[in-house]
This record gives sequence, structure tokens and C-alpha cells, in this order.
Amino acid sequence: MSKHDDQFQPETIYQQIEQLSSPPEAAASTSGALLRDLRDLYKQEEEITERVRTKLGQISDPQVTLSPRNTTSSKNIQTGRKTMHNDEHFQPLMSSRPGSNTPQRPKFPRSLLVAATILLALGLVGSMSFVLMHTHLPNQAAVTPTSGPMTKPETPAIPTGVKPTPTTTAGQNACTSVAAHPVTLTSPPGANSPALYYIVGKGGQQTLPSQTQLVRYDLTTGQKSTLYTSPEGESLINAVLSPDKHWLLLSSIFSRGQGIVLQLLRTDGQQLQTLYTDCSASATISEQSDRWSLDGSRIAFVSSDADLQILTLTTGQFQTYLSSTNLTEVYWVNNHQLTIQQNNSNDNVLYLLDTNKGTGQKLSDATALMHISTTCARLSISSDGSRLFNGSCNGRVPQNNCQSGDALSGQSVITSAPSGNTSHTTTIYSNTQDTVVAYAPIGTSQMLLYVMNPPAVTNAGPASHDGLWIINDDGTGLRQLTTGTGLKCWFQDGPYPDYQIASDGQHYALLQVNATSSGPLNQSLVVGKLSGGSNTMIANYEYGRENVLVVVGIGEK
Amino acid sequence: MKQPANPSAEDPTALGELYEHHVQAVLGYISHHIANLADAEDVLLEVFLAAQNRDALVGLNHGEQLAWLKRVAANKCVDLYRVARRRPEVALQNMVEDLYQDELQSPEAQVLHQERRATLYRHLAELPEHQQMVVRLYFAHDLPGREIALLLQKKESTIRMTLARALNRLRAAYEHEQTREGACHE
Repeated sequence: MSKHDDQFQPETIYQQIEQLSSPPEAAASTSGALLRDLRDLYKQEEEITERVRTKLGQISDPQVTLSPRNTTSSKNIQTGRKTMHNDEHFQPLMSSRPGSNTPQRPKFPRSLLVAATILLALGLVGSMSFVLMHTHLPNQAAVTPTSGPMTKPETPAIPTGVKPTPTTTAGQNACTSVAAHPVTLTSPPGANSPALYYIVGKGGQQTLPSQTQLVRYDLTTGQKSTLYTSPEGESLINAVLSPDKHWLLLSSIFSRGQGIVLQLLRTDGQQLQTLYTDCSASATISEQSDRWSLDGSRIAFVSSDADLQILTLTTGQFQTYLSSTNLTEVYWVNNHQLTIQQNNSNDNVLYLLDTNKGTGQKLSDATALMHISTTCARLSISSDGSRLFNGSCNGRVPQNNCQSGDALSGQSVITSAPSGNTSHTTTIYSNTQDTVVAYAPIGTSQMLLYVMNPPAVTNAGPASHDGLWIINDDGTGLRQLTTGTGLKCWFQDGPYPDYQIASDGQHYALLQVNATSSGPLNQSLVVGKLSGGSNTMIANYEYGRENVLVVVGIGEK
Repeated sequence: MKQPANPSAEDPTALGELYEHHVQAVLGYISHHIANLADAEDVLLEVFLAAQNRDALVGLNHGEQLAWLKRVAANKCVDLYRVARRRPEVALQNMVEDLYQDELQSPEAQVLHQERRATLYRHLAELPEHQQMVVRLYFAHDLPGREIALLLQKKESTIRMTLARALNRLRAAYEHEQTREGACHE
């Protein structure tokens, strides 16, 4: 067996593939043969589909000679093949189908992936061809209220000493780096009113979402308004409410795959300001890593190169506190300490980092708090940062109606521990049958649980237990708020969880995917009161098209 | 949030779109059953020609369309088996070996290669959907991990992990096949 013919390791996978693809290794090892066969298979598949495509075109309309795809590179071959329906040469074929009066249909959701592939390829070419300075126009199309106050975005000051090298992509919205700069946050005028904030967009399952919007739903008046619409070429991927609930941190990425933008928007839709823009090709934001410190003075996020970076809003200082790999999910424990998770192939480890120790720390400088199971586990924290919560269940079980997805099964356990000492664990919830697929702490004393029991699984809890529950942090007071008819599938690897919960201590918001006996799946966002009573559906989408992507939370305007 | 079954009201009956949307799945299905590339290509063409003349596809959602296409493909495969049985066959031992100076072009090597390809198709189809996607983007589209991460909106580390898991699973399947073949030869 070849020395390289070991298990593929995530950390060195690309080098392994390269080594195993070289002639001696490819011939001598099982892995080498596998890689060679994979490449052969896809190459042959491409050749077959291209030939059949051409034949179909010729049979459909003999007058039309379909030209072969651009074969200048493997990327072009593949992307060209998959975008056939956009190819003008193929139009006669589609329109000449006997007896068909069907107009050209909208693109399939899958074509979004193809489009993104093309855009990415074009972007790479563009970035090599054009090194131009363009002004980032995040505010241009930023706020388009459907009702509610008109907004007047402010143009951010662009200070000297911009950090990254600007790059740009031809055509759409371009990126110009904006260094961090001091900002002042003011409360919105007038009486406060609780409001739910959420992000909607198209796609987002296998591609970056597009046409993303930040929406506010006033829980008092029921009025809905769009606070922010992403400019073309950008995708709003997350928003986080400030501790005082008056500001939103918006995280966007350029949909051509280059650059990130951090912005602040007041919850009344006013005072949009760009905090920081990084146009470097590798810039992106790790999942759920953008967080306000408890006093709202600092913002932490993990960039794509796995640096934990912190912006100090009052000074505009932008500093790297930790450099490592596979960092994700940040929670502030207090104003100078935060937990950060490192996801490895077999387990995730939670670390405690002290920013008082200075910038440029390594993971060995942080304190390892605990290991987190990779299945079912989800970390969360109380609003004051004092307690960490960890959820677990019995793993994934296959479900026939989930395609490639699985369901989760009980026993479900949710534990709580002091943030600085996770060895002192308290069990808040434990149920041998019911499966908790999502949970969310409410303030410092309560928690919402969403139960979704898989059918046809031995010892699974009953369907009547499906729905939203509330429980006190000491394990008492468990009661059911809603009943559920949700989809029994769980796609753990998706970028946006199917089930999301938010609460402000008075109200709750629940995003769920509804399973019906017939017809399409649909996604609904409902709001209700923790005190009980019926809930109100405020958004409902056919699942897989336009969707609610992120339930940001309940704040005040 | 991955896409579960989505019986959309969308009605993609135009052949070009139909082809783009389902060609990989249909070809994968055919390749499970037919090892010979030329035969697989013929069947693929016949399936979509049948679809072109099939107004019944109007109004079907994507899942129903794919089910119909697979059913047609299955019938075409059966047809091919029947035809193949009537074809005159030449025994491999009667072939003049020195006609194939390149060993890879010999009939035996071709048959083995086709069988391995069909086996690989089967193992690929058994991978979780997201692993299939990452493997395809990496090997078919020749995209680096970072770009795949951007496309799928996942961390690059997740892509590396997914790719490693998929390849390890395929590799284990390969080793299993080798062990089984070894046992058969003994």
C-alpha cells in the first residue's frame, strides 16, 4: 500500500488528492485508483451529456446546428453544459416541441447554483483583469420601506489606511475596502415598540441567497416594513440585534464570492452606516460568529481565514485577537471574555478567550472548556453571558420522506453550566422520548424548546408533543405553547436551520417548515405571546423559493 | 437549510430545461444498469426524445418528472438487454490479443473499466446528497474548496471534511470490492 494511501484527512485533503493523482500513486494505491476513476467518470459523463444535448438540438430543429460548449477549461465545460437553457442556440429546441405552447419557464432553483458558479468564474477572471477602484455602494439601494419611515442612509467616511487590497468585479456592484472607523450609536426617537426582525431572500439552500431583505414586523400594530434591501451583487447573510435592542449589525457578502461588508442599521431603519468592508478574495464570515459584546461597545466576528477579529466601535480599532483554524460560533461571556468554538472532524471544542491578554493570541492561550458532540449539539448562552447551554439528542435516524436528510431522535438533554466553569453542569431538560430540534434561551431564567418527534421510530415521543414548549431554567414549569405539523426531517448541514426561535421575554417567534399530506411544503413564521393564546402567522412561503432565512430576534424601535 | 421534496407549482416542460435539470440523475440511473458507455448514451438520448413527445409531462413537478424519466429509462434499459441477447457475440478468447497493443484498449480492460465505472456510480449514488454535490463540484467542475464553500455557503473546513468523508466512504467501498473480488478468485 502506498504511503499516501491512508484515510483522507480533512486538514490535508487537497495535498493528498494532488499526491495521489500523480502517476505512480494513481497506479499503485486504492485511493489513487478511486481519484482517477472519479475524474474519468465525470469526464465521460460530460462527453455523453454534451453529445446527447447536440443530438437533441439537431433532432428538434435540423436547421439549427448547435455549437459545442466552450471547452477552453474544465470549468467552462461544466458551467457551459449546465447553463444550456440560457443558451440562445437551444431556444429553437425548446420552442419547437410539438404541441407545446408553454412559454419559457423561470429558472430552476438548481440553476442558481449554476449561475453562482458562472459568476464565481467570471468574478475570478474579472478580478484578474480589472484592478480598479470603485466605490462600494452599500447604501444605494439600501432602505426601501414598504411602509413605515423613509430612511436616509448616511455615506460612511472612508478614512485613510484602508487595510485590504481592493478588488472589483466587472458589471455588478463593486467592492471598495472601508477601514473601521469610530461610530456613535443613538437610540431611535419616540416611543419604543417591540418588533420582530427577520431576513428573507431567494435561494440560500445551495447557493448564496439573493434579493435579501431585512424585514421588521411591529408586534403591536402588525405593520410590516422592509428596512433594508441588499444591493445587487450582495447577500445579507445575517443580522444581530445589539444588547440594547436598538441597533442591528448586518453582515453581507458579495455574491461573486469576494468581500464582506459589516453595517449598522438602527431598528427604525435609519442611520445605515458601513462599519467595515474587506474586499479581499478570501473574505467571508464564519457562521454565527458576528456578535456584540454585552455592553454593545465591541463586535466580534470570525473571518474566513479563521481569525477572530474585534471591532471597537467607539475608537474604530480593528484588531485580530486569535488566529487558528476552523473557528466558529462566538459568544461573549462578559465584556472582555468570549467563548469560541473550534470544529474539527471528530469533535468540537469550546474555548474561553480573554481579550485582556492582548491581540495576536493562539488557541493554546485560550482555555479549553469542553468538548461538544457533533450530532444534535448546539451551544447557546444566556442574555447576560453567565450561563452556557448545550443540547444533545440520540443522533440521526433515516426518514424515507426526507430524501437524503435524516430526523433526529430522543433522548434529548439540555444542560446549563456557568460560562467560566463548564464542569458544573445542571440538567434543565431531559426526555427519553421527545426530540428537541431547536431551543433558545429567554433572558436569564427561561428557555423555549421546539420538539419534533420522528414517526415510525421505536420509543419516539408522540406527535402530540410536537411544537413549541417553554421551561424554566431550573427545570420546572414545562408547558406547551404550540402544536406542530412540522417536517420530520433535519438537515443539519444546511446554512440556515429549518427551525428557528426568538423571544424577548414577552413574545415568541417561531420559524418552521410545515408538512402537509399533499401539495408543496411551506415555511411559516408565526408570532405569539409566552403567556399563551393563539399565534399569528406573519410570513408564509412555499419552501425552497423565497424563504425566511434568519429570524434575527425581537427588538425595539 | 437544504431543499427537501419541493413539489413546486413550476411547470418546467421545455425540453432544454428538462434536460438540464434531470440529465445527471437520469444518466446516473442508466449508468447503474448499463456499463457500456455507448449504450448508456443511446438510452439517455431515447429517454429525452420520449420526453420531448410526451405532453403528459406538462404540469408535473420536478420529482414527478424525474420519476417518469427514470421509469422510461428503466424500460429502455430492459429493451437494451433484450436486444443485446439477440446480438451476435464474439468470445473474448477468440479475439486476437495483439490487435490491442495498448492494454487499456483491450476488450477485457474495457469491460473491467466499465464495470468499475458502474460500481463507482452506484457508490456515488449511495453518498448523502451534500457529499455528492461537493465531490461533483471538486472533481467535475474542478473548483477549489474555497469556491465550493462560497457556492454552498459553508465553511471551507466543512467542505474539506465533507470531501474527506465522501472519499473515505468511496475508498472503503473500493476496498470492499477488492476484498470480495479476491475472495471470488480464491
